[in-house]
Amino acid sequence: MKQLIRTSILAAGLLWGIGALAADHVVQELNSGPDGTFVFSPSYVVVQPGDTVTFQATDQGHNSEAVFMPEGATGWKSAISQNLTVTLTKPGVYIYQCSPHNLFGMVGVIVVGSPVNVADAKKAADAIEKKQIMNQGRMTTIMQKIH
Amino acid sequence: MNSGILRVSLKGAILFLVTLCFAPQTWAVPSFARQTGLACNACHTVAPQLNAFGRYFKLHGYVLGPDKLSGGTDQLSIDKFPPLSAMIILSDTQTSKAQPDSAVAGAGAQNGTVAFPQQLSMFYAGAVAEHMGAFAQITYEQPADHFSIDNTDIRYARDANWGDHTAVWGVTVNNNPTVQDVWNSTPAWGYPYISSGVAPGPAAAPLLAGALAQNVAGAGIYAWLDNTWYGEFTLYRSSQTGVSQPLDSNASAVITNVAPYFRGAWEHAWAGDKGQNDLEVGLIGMSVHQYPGGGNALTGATDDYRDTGVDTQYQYVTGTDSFALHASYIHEQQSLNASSALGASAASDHLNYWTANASYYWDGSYGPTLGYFNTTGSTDPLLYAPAPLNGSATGSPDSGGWIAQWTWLPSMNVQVTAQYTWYDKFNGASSNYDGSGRKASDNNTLYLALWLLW
Repeated sequence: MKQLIRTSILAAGLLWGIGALAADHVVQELNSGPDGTFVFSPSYVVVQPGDTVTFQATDQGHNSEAVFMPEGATGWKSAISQNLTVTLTKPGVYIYQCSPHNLFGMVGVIVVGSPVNVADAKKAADAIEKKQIMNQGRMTTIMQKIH
Repeated sequence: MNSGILRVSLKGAILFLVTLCFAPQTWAVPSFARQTGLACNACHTVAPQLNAFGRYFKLHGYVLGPDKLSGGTDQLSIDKFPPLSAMIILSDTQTSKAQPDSAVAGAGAQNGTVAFPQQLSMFYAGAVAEHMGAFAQITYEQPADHFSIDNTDIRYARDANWGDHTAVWGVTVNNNPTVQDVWNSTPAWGYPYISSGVAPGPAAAPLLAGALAQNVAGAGIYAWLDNTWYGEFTLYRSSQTGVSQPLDSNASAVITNVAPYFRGAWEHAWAGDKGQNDLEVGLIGMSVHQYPGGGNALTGATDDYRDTGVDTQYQYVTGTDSFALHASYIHEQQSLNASSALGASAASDHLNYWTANASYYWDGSYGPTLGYFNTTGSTDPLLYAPAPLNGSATGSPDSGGWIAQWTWLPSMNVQVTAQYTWYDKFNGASSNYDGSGRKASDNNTLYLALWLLW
């Protein structure tokens, strides 16, 4: 019986430890925020491999869709006005957008661990920004935060 | 028909056309918002001023909805309800001095005209088919006391991208030169965006400044390259309402064949500290040959008008505030062969027409606009003869002044406007301009309006 209790406590401790290591980061989808209209907040997030990011449909009519990611990584696309939590394991730069509002520059960047693919990411960001009609410069500003 | 009657009818036509120039103009409508799922301020700084996305939406033929914006299949889904909207404008107009009584010499008309409504409009505004959309308006105005066709623009538009280039091209069918334009520096959507329907206005303005509105039908092609270069060519032909068809000597100002219209513009967008800058510089032009009509057969000599102009627009739009600057200049060369042969005008005249305005809005909900306008031109006592209120004692069309406005939007589809117009000069003079003792400043106008859209 003592052995069983000891094992259970150990297992619970391990599970708690794993949970504590893998953080969850919340990104809100907003009509208007500190950085302007049609914006993810925060639009730049640095996480560790294994962390989760929750896209929170704070305002209605938005979603999150990965449009650039590290080689071998799995993308995501949430339903409109629905929350979505993704687990990011592959290191590198991820760029995502709101599908209905990409022309408004509603974009965001997540760096998982080290930005190993930053050169390709900047090319992708340039192409994305070229298509935007509103909020010119937002994509560039976000990309400049990558170190 | 003798020249006296022709002169009267020509002056009447000019007065009518100028009145149209000062008639209230139109706005964007909620059915676009319902179609796109976007609030009004996605397309407008403050309606009817378009921001960069509003221009993009219009150039794409009014068809964008959530599916197209998401890169969807572009198939039109027929909505349960058609894209209909309505608008009403209620207003009060007070001139500095009452206008003369229209029937009793020496008497004055009542000052402080309440218009309930000044204008009531119905719109079809939205997608018609997969790549085709429309902004179509019918309007009731109090003095006319009936509905009639108002600004209408039907478009077909497609994307055509290649390499690193983006393009949208399209076809426009419309009834008012410049109603299809996407910048607010050209007449149809220019400042003042709303104005009194009863206050006196200057006698002269170039044809492009509204005289052809709802009197023509045009079909044209346009292209917008790399979100930078715009080009358009449209041909217009007379399509007059309220006169017998086919057009004959009972009609006035009938275009002989077709009137070519061109528009070119360059726009550049760049990031600012807190928002986006957009600068546009453009050219515009139109050539019109028309029979004077008004009792004269539609044949023989014509009156020829050639309008050429330049315009510019600058916008700075942040997440909450917006600043806009517009300026335009139109030169009109008039070869009035038909009218001069009938003794109704000189053989040739010209007009120079300047406008400029600046506005600032806080939170997209309140702010001032200040505008300047100035028209100069040839002295022509036959065309601009003395007459109480609307005539010219000097035969000069020169008029100029300022329009100041404060706008408050308690919500995006409600606007409250207080506007004041000062005249430095009216129809050629600042005092006794009409030969009946009226001063230009007597026409200074306080205009209060409530505008609702739903």
